[in-house]
Amino acid sequence: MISGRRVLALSSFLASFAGSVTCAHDAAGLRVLMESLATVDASRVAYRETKSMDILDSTVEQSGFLAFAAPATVIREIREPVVETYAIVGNAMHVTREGREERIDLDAIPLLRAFIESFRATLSGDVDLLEAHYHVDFSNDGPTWRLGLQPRNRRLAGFIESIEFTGEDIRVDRIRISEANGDWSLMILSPVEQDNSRDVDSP
Amino acid sequence: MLIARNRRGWLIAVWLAVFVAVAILLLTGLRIDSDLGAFLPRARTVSQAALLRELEAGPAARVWLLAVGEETPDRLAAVSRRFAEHLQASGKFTTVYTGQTALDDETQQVLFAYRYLLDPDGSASKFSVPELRTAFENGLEKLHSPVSPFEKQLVTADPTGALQRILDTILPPDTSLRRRDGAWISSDESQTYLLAESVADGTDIEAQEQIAATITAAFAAANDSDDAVLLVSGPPAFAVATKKRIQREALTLSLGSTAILVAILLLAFGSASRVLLISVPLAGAVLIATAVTSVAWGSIHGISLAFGATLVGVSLDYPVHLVSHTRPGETLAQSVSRVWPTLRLGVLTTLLGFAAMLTTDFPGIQQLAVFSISGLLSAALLTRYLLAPLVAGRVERTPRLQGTANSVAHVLAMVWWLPPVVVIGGLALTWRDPSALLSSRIDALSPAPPNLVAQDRALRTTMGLDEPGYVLLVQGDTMNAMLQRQEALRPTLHQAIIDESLRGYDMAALVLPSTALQRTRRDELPDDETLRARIDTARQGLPFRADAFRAFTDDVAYTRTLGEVDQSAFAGTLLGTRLDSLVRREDDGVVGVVTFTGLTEPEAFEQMLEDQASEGVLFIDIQSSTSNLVNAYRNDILLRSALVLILIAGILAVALRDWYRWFRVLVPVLGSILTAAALPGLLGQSLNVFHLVSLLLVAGIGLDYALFFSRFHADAVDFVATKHSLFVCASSTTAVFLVLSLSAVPVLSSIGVTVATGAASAFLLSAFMNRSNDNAKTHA
Repeated sequence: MISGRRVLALSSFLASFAGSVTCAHDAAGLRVLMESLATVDASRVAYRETKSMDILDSTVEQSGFLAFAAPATVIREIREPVVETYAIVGNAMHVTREGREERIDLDAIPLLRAFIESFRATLSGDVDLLEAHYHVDFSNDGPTWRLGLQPRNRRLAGFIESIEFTGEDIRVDRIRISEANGDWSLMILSPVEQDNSRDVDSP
Repeated sequence: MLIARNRRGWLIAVWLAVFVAVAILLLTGLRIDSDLGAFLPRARTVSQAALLRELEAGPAARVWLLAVGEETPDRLAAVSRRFAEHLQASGKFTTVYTGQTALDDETQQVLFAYRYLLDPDGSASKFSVPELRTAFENGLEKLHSPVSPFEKQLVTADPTGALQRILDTILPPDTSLRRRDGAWISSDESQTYLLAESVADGTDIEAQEQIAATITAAFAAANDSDDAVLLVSGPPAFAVATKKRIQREALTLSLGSTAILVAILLLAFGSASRVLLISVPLAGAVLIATAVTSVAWGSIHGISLAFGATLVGVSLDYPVHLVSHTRPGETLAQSVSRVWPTLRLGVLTTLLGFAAMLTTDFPGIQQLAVFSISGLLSAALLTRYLLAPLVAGRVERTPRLQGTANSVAHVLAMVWWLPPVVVIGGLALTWRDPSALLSSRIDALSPAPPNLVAQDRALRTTMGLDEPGYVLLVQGDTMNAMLQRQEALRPTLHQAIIDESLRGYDMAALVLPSTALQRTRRDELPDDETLRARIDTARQGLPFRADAFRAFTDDVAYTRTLGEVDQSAFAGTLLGTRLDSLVRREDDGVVGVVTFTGLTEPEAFEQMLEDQASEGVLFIDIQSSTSNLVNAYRNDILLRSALVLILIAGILAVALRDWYRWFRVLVPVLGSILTAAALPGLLGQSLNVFHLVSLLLVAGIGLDYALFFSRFHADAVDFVATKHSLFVCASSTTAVFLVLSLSAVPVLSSIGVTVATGAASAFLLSAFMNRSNDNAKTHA
């Protein structure tokens, strides 16, 4: 019951916030990238994340795996320093920690849903969904590209200033989240070796 | 002759004026109400009162149960999500619940602002260094979450997790709910569910009818493919369906029985004008009875009107007696002198029976009694003082079917053993299973169609909304006194949960702590300096910066300036609705309801509560309490009826002054009552209060028949006239009530069966008991 409905408490808390935003971009280039991303049925990569927060003296580091399966499943497996899994399947987020699973209905927490769609819509190449939640700013230089997202939802913008994906071809290399209060997180993605992945499937 | 004509003119004018006045009164001011609770007994104790209010007018009575089926799970979810949106947009519902757990923003803000006062486990120790240290360590782990941009602010603003504990306590455990794309779906994904609580009262049938239309329209708009099917249930749905059904049946059944009546009367009297004449007193009686009843109560209940009109319908017998007994060449006025004394005695004794019902605690039954008394009395007076003068100059002919009536009476007298067989059968059945004789079920008194009730029960089971078997009522002079009593119960309730004899409970104090408790919590909050010092100690060795918990210290300091929260803070929110459903304001205080899930050992639990000797706390076993209530009520009517029968027997003895005739009257009366009481049992029904009231009517019918059959007949012609008149009466009454027994409304069909049986056996037994009278006179 400690983890109980942790994210639900979160949503209650979120109810007290508000903010605002505007932007513009290269629509044709975005379509090309999203169409190629849409051809990917499943992928799995290793990641290493660094978070910087103004409430902490030091950064928070974590590593694990990110998996995607079309059309709407994104799973983050945290391996270090804690073992937790966040699986977004359809309209629910399943959080597994210490052998217990908690199911969170994303429809009930629109803010969280909008945040999560930034990853999911990008990975599945759903440009309409992405544009529904974010002002999209796309630019590329040959095969390398940069996708900048700014929340349309004013409440979300009160927390998240921008989310930036950078990559090459259909590979995402980095995801950087800049928060309204100056906090940030940077996620660096790298391909998984074959044995490593098997190791992960049966921990 | 001139004087006579003048008097006749006056009479007609006066009666006409009365009719017109009554008709205008009814046309302009008749209010028919359909409150299903009117035929439930009135409560005698606080607990019964609370229970009844819960049953008839509590928030539960406003809840529509809606189920959508016959589609693929994806489409079901989509249809039911749109359906919920349309319902919500109609503004006719306070809440449309689709299994969602999110609270509205306003409520969430209140909960967050007052979290340290509302915390269900709030105590000073939550702010001690060791607990803060544990809280900080947990918080640090939460920062690993991918949704940490949001979560970290909660980690620093509410490290003790007060908001989390509040939500864990007030939100129902979501294990019983399964959701799909924002819809509440059954575990096999074949049905989606919605609960919609109307703004209008459950007893406001007109409003509920409009809501039913809103629901149909909202569903049609949401159901784009037209494939999904909507199932509507719940107390308001019953009320609306019952009203519709009663209206429809009232129309078809009354058309059917009227046709039969007219046919019988035409056959017997052979002239449309005479049939019209015969129906004058009845029409007047129903008008007057409706007016008297609605003036006395301000409105008339649909059932009183339908049932009452049926009861008063028996008064058609009065003019039939008069016309049947008029010899060829006589006018009606001449037979009045022969018929009136007998008729008067029959009417008066029948009225006595209904008068006894005036003193019951049943508002519906009182209405029925007033309706019947005023109806029967006016029918008798209209027959005597309007009918005869109305056709003063008209000479009667011999009615038809006299021969038939004579032979039918003769044949029926030979099967005198039929009623005793039925009675013996009933007795045998009662001997085998005494509990089957009298019904204790409160729902047997409800006019709701049984198939709807069954569907509702099935739906509730699949939705996990089993009807509560037990409730605990906590009384207090004020809301706070009540909340404090509930708070005092928490250790006992927790013990029961630990013992696994209870799975969960819900009560107002879980949502809203008493002001006293809130005050204690506020007073125990550490001051700013102390809290900062403790935080500094607790964060030693953790990466949190010195000012990381500024939101926390600010909020605690702010909480120390806050007043206590009361119910009004949640007015108009989902949580407010929840509080309203758990608290009822009475004239002399407040009653809080504690509901349970998974209470496995109610006796032990009750014992535990008693040991605690909590004042103002009442544990109720709903099933046995309602049974007791219904039983007490029915026994009361049974006792009154028995006393009235004895009284009637006494009056007859005085009025008749002839023991032999007294015997010949009482045997058919008692015999027909017993037969009518035994037959429902043989048909597998238990006797409820409506059967008992019908038995009073049977007594009245029996008295009428037996008095006429047993009266002194001047000659054979007179006796044939009696048989003719009673044959017409008995066949029309039996036919009309047989039609009523076809009703799908349980109440109406019980009445139909009882009275049809009673009328038939009253005729048969009267004919049998007085056959010697027949012989003596015909041979004389």
